[in-house]
Amino acid sequence: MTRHRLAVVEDNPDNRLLLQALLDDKYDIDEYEDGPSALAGMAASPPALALLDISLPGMDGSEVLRRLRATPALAATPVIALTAHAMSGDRERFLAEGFDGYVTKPIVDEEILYAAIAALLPSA
Amino acid sequence: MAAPVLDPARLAKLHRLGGRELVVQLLDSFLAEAQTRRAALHGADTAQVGAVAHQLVAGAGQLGAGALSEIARQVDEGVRAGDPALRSTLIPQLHLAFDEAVQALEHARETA
Repeated sequence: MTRHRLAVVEDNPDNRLLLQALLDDKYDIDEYEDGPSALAGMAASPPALALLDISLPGMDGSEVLRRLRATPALAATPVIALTAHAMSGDRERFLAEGFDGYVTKPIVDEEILYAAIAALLPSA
Repeated sequence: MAAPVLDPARLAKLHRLGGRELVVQLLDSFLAEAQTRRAALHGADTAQVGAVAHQLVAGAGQLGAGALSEIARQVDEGVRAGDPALRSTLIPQLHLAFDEAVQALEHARETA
């Protein structure tokens, strides 16, 4: 089975650690701490899918998404918004911005995360 | 039912995922930030209270500190929505939940 590579863009080291623990059995992970490094790294080495935190310092997740979509090699990369924003309407707002999926933090049920990722990756 | 101060099943799950190393690393990291976050939560800068509350939604929740995660979510939303009950009710509740969670997580760290 093909082992997909995922980009995890998350500024909080604890959240990165947890995501790595959740994902590294199934996927190869490229970790990025902020938007600019994610854009540069993903352009050099496009992932199969990106998990993108919304509340990044400086360039936020929505702006990172806009720039990904404007980059031909990355325009079609599925991107899941990762956010502790869970007010009503947030899900619709993020999907309207062009995110392909939406997972809320804290991730206490990893099956939701796995399902969101699997739904967007080509099956092996 | 109200969320518990600390759900031991959550720490047990983290242990299964990443062993004691992951549990200790996450607990140490949370506790290392506690003093700074506590000061910010007691400060006059409401935007800063909201920013710390936003971090706590995930940070506390992923360690099983469900009561803190829940009230932090309410404060985060309250700051964004300009809720008038913020200073009188929600933020004092957050202070209490924060101290209870830190105490429970310190205990969990001692016995991890």
